[in-house]
Amino acid sequence: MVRELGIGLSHARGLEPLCAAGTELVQVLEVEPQTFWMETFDPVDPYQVDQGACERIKGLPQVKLVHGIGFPVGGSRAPDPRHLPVFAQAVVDFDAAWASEHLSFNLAGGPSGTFNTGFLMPPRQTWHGVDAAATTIRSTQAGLPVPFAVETGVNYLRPRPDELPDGLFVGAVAESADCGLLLDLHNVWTNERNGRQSVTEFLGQLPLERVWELHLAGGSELDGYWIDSHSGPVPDDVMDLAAEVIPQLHNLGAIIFEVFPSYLPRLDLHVIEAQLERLHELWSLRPRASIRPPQPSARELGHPTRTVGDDPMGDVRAWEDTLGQIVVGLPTRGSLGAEIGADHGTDIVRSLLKDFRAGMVCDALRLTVHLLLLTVGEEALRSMLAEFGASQPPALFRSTEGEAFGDYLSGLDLKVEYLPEIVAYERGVLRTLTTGQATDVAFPYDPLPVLRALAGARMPQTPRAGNFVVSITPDDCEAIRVEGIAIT
Amino acid sequence: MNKLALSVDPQLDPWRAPLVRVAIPARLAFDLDAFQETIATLARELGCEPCLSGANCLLAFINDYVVNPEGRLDPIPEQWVGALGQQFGP
Repeated sequence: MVRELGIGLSHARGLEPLCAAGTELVQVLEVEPQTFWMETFDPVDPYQVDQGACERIKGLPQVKLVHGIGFPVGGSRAPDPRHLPVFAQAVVDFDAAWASEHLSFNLAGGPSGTFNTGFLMPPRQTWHGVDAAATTIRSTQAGLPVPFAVETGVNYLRPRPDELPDGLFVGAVAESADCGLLLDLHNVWTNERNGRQSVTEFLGQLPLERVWELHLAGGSELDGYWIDSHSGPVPDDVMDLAAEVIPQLHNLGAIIFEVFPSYLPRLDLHVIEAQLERLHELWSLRPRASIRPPQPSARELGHPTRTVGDDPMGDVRAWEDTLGQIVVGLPTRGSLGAEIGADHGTDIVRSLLKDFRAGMVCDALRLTVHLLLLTVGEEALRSMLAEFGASQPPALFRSTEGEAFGDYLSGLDLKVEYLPEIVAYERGVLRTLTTGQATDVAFPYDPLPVLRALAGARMPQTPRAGNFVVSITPDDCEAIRVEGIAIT
Repeated sequence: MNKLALSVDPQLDPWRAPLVRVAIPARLAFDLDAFQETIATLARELGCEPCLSGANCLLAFINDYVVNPEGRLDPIPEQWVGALGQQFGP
């Protein structure tokens, strides 16, 4: 059982003004701590927290929850154990009532070893898959000081005859791992719209007493599929479903509205406020009495065809590796590869992954992206991103993806004025931020007007020539005193 | 907040243009607000992307921003109206 916290938002910087205004409308803030980690490549200490971001969020008045991203717990491969102490520290720092992660996988095997799929992938929905997920969940749970829940995922693939129904699988995982459930109702509704199990059947198979948290979001359409884009208001159908299920959620602790940061400039904050007001109405529907879930031994996870094979993990690994290879564009062999490859849902995932990776590059190398859009244009940039994407699997962190794309650009013979220096500059910024070491970048012209123009998405005017070096310094260094300038 | 600083390094070769060194703290360098006067583009972090199983349209949005000669974010183009007819935006 968890505390009743109320209505809240998934954290994004653009939403902080709403949070800073007080706790009447936004009572809970769900933080994804890995969004402000940096990858250091130190083998002992690979994840460094941006303490400034951490302190800023801690200063917001809402009760916090911690929702993991990047280290899902639905697959057979446990996430990097080195992340767990940092994640646990985030739970302590934010005094989170509980923590959660995704019932998905993002690690798969290929010819060169294990790689990141870059996108949350649906786990193998068999009893072996239940066992695999439960094992991974327990290993994460053991490292946390608070209760732990898993989020119901979206699945763009069509149902398979050899898999458990969605609700039965999720329920079995939760009972086997003895964890809570984060019911993402928009995900479940998206799955129904895309041909998977109906929401009603799904909820009928779920141990609803384990649902501690509800996620609600909006979506969009892509190529005949409904997509979980977190792009706007919650569809009315999903609101209606929430109103039907909430009276059955005896252990509900929070309802969270999710909006992806990229969409925030297109959404007036009043739209968000209106959504939160509707969520407050839903909150009032929850039942008064809470129920403690029975211990797993009191439940029979009965399924007439449950068997234990000689190689229980082989089937799960084959699923993860084959699906992972398909979505990142690696060739696959065998009947499973042919089957999954023929599913149009994999085309959708590949398309979403391309945009996802493009977004990461935009975040990490914004000036470079502005310059390329101003010169070669969007189509050419997307071609470069596609070629880059085909050459290596996705990185988990934006800084790493940006560094890799910068390296790719440096290998091209692009005759774009300012590009070599801007790429070197932005790679230098990333390097200094992640390593704490100063970086020098040479410019054959005055850099500041060029940097300012590109920051404003404007083509620079011809800068004065000169011999300049930009020293990018760690934030704790004192600035060099101005002594004077001499420029030809 | 640390500021930009300029200094001139001594030159041994008088025929070479003087070297101007600009020192920029990294966090400032990453914060585009410091380099522009218009409304900030989206705040950025370096970690994992936030939770999303859908379309990240950041590149398309940035392209819209870049090509707009007035540098403003336009009202939402038709393609971003949801399939259920939701309209959102200023």
